[in-house]
This record gives sequence, structure tokens and C-alpha cells, in this order.
Amino acid sequence: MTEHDQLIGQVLERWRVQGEAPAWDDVLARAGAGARTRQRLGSKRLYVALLVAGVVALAAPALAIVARQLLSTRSVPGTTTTTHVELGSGRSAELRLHSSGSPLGRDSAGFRFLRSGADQARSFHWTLELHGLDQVAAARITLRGRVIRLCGPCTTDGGVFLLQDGDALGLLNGRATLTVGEARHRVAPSAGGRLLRAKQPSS
Amino acid sequence: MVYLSRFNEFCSVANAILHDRERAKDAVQDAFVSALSRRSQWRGEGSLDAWLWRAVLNAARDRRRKHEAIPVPDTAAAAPNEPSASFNGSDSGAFVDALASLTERQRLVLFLRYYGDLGYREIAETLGIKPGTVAATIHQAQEHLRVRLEVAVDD
Repeated sequence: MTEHDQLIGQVLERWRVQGEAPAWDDVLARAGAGARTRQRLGSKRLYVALLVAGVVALAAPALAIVARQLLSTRSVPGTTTTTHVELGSGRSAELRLHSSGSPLGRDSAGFRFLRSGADQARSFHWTLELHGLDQVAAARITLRGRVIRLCGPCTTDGGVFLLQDGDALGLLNGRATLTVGEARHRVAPSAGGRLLRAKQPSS
Repeated sequence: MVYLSRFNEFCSVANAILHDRERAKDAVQDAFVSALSRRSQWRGEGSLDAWLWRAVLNAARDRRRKHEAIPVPDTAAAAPNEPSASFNGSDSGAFVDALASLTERQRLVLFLRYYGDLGYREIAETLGIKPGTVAATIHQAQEHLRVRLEVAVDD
């Protein structure tokens, strides 16, 4: 054995533990307590699992409805629709509508807007552009028997109108008609176009 | 019974890892509590001794990890059971430093060999390595310590 080996032995010897009394009873007690705790935890987990299963079984129909709403609707922060009305001889008018308000949901297919719940007013910003003529007598939207007069006489123009939620959904879902008349007189030529279904703004 | 017959050896290895006698005892107790609680997980593959040694090592290393800043004992301060040394305190301090510079595996192999008096096969089983690796590791550890100590003495 070299001098170094002796030194190794001597230093390691300082960490040698001698004369310590084992405490087996302590080990048994703690191990037993641990086993009992696990057993209690196991029973508790089973109880909680059964409880959750019961609640889920009872609430499944309601949860399914909520889940369907959550999964099938998409929020649309703003909507824009554009309608083009041909007036003949190369003349035309184009109405651009932009709706803003609380986010709207859509059905699972994404074709129809859905009622958000609260019957809130939505604002619609509109812009009318005329092509091939300077002025028209009137521009109006017909929705569910109601008439929303945009302007008259109109040049390239713009404005804002408010609709309650139900009417707004009707407009956005393509149930409104735009009519642009060249003269105020009833017999004057006029043309109409169904408002296109709203779509998400591209920007 | 392994626990009773080798309690001081388990404590010695844990003490060498933790440098704290009380925490070493606690680690051994924890290891046996854990082993007893999980005795159903022992599949009878390998020796029971190796499984228990592994539990002790893991418990001590867990404790060390939880208390990262374990102070290395003052080598000049004599431990209660320190034998009368023919080397002075500074030499011992150099050795402790040298020991600290070993790899974890080298230290554990050394401790199991020295305190537990385990054979290569038992150490290999405890650490999950091959017996040949144990022999090589012990050799490397001793060489490393010799080199470090020679440098320390030269200084």
C-alpha cells in the first residue's frame, strides 16, 4: 500500500459512520403511514372519479350544447359586403357596407351569422360609388319590409346607419335588397340588387 | 436483516455523499421507508442488496440536490471517529479537493467499495454498469487521486 493509498483510506475514514443505532421501528411506522395514506388517497380518488362521472353524465346534454356553440362558431370582428348595381349603358353604382360591433358567431359551415345573445345595435358604414354618371336620385336598402334611405339625391357619398341585432343579421345574411333609382319619380328607371352575403374583410 | 446488519455502512456511504452525519442517517431512513413502501415493485431480478444500496444512493443524492450548497467539512476539524493521522490537515484538505474533482461515478464506486466492502459485481449491479467498468473506474479514480495529491504535495 502506497502512502497515497493510506491517505485515501484515512480521509475516507473520516466519513465512516460507526455506532449509530438503527431505527427500524421508525421505518416501519413511516412506511405503514405511507401505505395507509396511499390507501386513503386511492379511495378518495375513486370517490372523486365517481363523482365527476356522475356530474358529467347529468350535465352531458348541456355540455354538448355549449360545446357545439363553442366549436361551431367563429368570431368575426368586422364584416364587409359590396353590392354592384348595373344601371345600363355602362353606368353602375356600387355600395360598400362595413359593419362593426361586438364579434358575431357563424354556424359550423361558416355561411350564416348567428345571434350573439344580447340584442345590441350594430353600426354600418356605407360608401356609394357611381360609375358613368354623376348623380342618382336615391339609394335605399329594403329589409324585412323596412326601408333604410341612404341618400337622395346621391353623388359618390357615404354615411352611417344603425340596426338592431336581428335586422343586422338579416342584412349580413343576405336578406336585404339595394335599390338605386335614377329619378325620384316612380316611373323613372331604377335598378336593384340583392346585398351580397357579408364576408370577412380581406385586410 | 440487511438494514440492521449494514446500517452503519449505508450511513457511511450517505455521509460521504452528503458530508453531514444526521442528514445521512435521515437519507438512509428515507431510503428504507421508500423501499418498504415500494417493495412490491422489486421483481426479484438482481440481488436485494443491490436494490437497497441503490435506494440509499438515490435518497442521498436527492437530498444533496435539494440542498445544493453542501459545505465541504472543515478538514482540519477532526471527526469524532477520525483515526490518528500521520498526515497533516493540509494534506487531507488536498485529498478532499481531489475527491471532489472525481466524477460522480468514480466517487460512488469508491464509496461502495470502501464503506460497503462490496465486490465488483455487487457495485456493478447497484450502479447498473458492467463489472469490468467498475474495475476500470476504481483504477481511474485512484490514479486521478494520486496525480492530484502529487501535485498538491509538490505545491
